[in-house]
Amino acid sequence: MTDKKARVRFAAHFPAPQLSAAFTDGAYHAGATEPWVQRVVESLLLANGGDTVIELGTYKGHTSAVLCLALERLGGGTFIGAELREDWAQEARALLKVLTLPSVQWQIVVGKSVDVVNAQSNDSIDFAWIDSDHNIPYLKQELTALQPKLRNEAIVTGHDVTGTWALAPAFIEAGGIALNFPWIHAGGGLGILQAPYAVL
Amino acid sequence: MIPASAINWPHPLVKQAWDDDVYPSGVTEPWVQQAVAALLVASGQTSVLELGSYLGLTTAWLACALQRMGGGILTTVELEPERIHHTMTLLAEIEIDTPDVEVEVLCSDTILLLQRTGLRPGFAWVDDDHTPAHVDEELTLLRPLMKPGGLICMHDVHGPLGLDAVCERHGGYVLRFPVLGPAGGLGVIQL
Repeated sequence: MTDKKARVRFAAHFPAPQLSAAFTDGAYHAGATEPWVQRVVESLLLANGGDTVIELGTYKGHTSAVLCLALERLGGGTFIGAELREDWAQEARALLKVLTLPSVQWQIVVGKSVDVVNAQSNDSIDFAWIDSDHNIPYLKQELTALQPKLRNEAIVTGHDVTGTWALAPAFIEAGGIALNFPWIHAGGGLGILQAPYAVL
Repeated sequence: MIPASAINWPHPLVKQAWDDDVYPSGVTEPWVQQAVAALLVASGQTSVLELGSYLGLTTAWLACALQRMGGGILTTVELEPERIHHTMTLLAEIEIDTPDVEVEVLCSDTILLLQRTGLRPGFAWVDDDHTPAHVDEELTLLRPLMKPGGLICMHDVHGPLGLDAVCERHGGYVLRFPVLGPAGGLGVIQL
């Protein structure tokens, strides 16, 4: 699908005007998760419910914003974002600060995603979104680290399961599914797992 | 229970059905409908087949999603005349808001239709007769009809009906979500 068609087809599908503006400005095309994949991720969080969300790899905060706004619609909760790069973490914080999130306690932690996961309490996370270091061995480390931290029937989602990074095998080996959707850069798609999942 | 604030209702009449307590009669949970609509939009597919319309509420979600995508074709199949009446009434009421969606409502047994149809759907929603043998036959007939990369979504794969095994046997994944009745959840198969 061309960018032009994507702009037309999905223009009305942003939960906040800041995200629509980011798409129009081309910010998504530099590597942010496609807005249509973000809306599936959002819908899975809203369908399963919960009050604690973790994001591994916030990048510039576009998906963080979608997740925090979804948490707000669920009645509020806690959002933990992990990002290795301080400059991207600052951009994510700047985006979240301008959103109306009175019932969401959010924080963006600068650090290695596995370390941020390990710092969480066991049985505490309802939803996870993974879009950090795009290699299968590290993704498996993240999925393994998440296992004890997840509440029963928590959902784990991840980006870039198809295309250049082809992370699908990590989700499939754990018993999940990898869906292919139209991309706007070198990869895309969505991996989905629901706890409990197979030990990797 | 998922709060109503979590639902981005696609049309006021669908929200009205929730407010009027129509959903617990067996309609797909609105949070599942919302996920199905999001999957349809993400897939980019514009030819949709629904097997089992019941009261037409998921049909309305699918029609509104297609409209947001710029339009498409929605074929819905239902065996019960009274359900067809409900579905057609609701679709007529939302027609003004879905001008670019071509809708066809068929009264047929889904197996018979799948055996003889020339349809090539890119997206399918399966929610009719919930016996495992029936759904297994549906999927066996439906999968070869689907466009490559197309999505099949299924309701009631979580619960006592045994449809989780059917979904998984056809290469699908079962998501367990909060339910309004004895069964619910969402099955997803990508071709």
